[in-house]
Amino acid sequence: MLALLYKDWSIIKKTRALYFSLFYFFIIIPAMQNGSFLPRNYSTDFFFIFVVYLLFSYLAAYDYKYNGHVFIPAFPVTKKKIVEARYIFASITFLSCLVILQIIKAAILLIGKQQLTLHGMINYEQTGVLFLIFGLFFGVILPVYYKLGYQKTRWFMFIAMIIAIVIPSIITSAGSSLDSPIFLLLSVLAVLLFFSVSIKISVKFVNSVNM
Amino acid sequence: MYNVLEVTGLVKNYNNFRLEGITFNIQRGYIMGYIGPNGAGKTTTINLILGILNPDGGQIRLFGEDVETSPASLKERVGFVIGETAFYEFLSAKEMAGIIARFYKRWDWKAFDRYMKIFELDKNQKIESYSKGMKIKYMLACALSHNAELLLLDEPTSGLDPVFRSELMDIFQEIISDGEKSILFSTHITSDLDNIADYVTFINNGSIVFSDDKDSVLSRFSIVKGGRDQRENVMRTDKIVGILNSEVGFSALTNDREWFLRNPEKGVVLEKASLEDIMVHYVRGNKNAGLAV
Repeated sequence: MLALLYKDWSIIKKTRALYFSLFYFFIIIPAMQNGSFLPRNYSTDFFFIFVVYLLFSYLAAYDYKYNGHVFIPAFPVTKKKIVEARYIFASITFLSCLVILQIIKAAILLIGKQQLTLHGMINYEQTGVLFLIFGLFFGVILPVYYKLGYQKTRWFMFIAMIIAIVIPSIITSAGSSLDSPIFLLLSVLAVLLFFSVSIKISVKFVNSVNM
Repeated sequence: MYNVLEVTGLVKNYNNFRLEGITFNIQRGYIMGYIGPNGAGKTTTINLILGILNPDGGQIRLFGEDVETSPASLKERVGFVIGETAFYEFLSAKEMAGIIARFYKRWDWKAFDRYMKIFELDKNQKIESYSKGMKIKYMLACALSHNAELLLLDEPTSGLDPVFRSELMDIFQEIISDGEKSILFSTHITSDLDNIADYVTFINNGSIVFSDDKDSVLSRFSIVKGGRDQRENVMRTDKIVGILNSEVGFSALTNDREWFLRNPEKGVVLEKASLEDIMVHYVRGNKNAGLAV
């Protein structure tokens, strides 16, 4: 499993996706926090998920270009582990981005000489929505990717990402305030449940599809 | 006698192609040539052994164990050279080796450095800047650096010049010289196997034609040549498995050399058959004459 994650990291750190991520976190986010750049909420969600999507998309594209999907199963690893590693890598990427986002928020609060409180840093509603978007997107897209392959999935992935961002955002904006730890906890549990089903479907597809 | 690989009744339906009843064994310390024309099923067989594809039937045993029971640990002992690309080619050879090393418990960096030196490869160079031959050598260096006992080589000499191919043949022979390693060498360039293969398995159209030691194959098959007048007589013998016709006569493949030696016919000559003769006569000659073995 660690070998697969190291492989993904070795690819990602050589791609332009990483530069885009740095640009997002260190230019776009601080600019948005000042209120002088893009409007908040939808844009923040969009760019955040876009970064995670971009990192995954680069991995999938490089696997396709260099036949990684063919030679990786030849190494001493099962197809189930290969699938699980992809979900874990997406989750690590998402959580890393979330941590970086919180660090940047904390830095902005400190620079503005504001008080550093847990509630000031973590917006439960926004974080919960991000979890739901992430779970919805990867929970659906990964089985489709393993069934149809990268070439047939790439445009679908982009459309699915936009849908995944819009739906939870609309639901939360229409309803009452969800800014509570319970909402965040339920979102995380929903993602775990969604992923456990999604992984089983992906493994089934990987075993049946001739790569 | 210890079989490092036993393939029994392997079946795979794949992209309108059917691989059926594939059966052969490889003994420890030997090189098995896996020959056949393009599209015969060589790559599919190797992909099935490596677990890249899942079989629809049959059994694959590696080192005496069914691959289904513990595929990951058995593949620790297998090295491979497959595919059009040599892993993630945008990485340097060292970076890619760093990835591969993490998949194998028995990875040996000293062995890797030694093979890179022997093969005259710069490990700091990007793989994509290597020539095709260098990429093959690089994949071979990786396969040998985790002490693989069985090497599966899928068309490793395809597209290489004769000098480089000859060099690779020497390397393969050196690899098996310790008697511990074995090689399954798939190729459609049969001349590569003339000097190094101990056994030969011939696959055509998804089925095994024969699998035997090379000397037996070469002594059993012969080329029968004659003029147009002798063609009908030779065909009537029922000992012909493939025939190629020309303006002046015919060239046929027999799998019963002894019969023709016992029953000589005027105007018909018997010649030694090379592996290429066997493959060409069987594949093309069979189509032309509508024969069956």
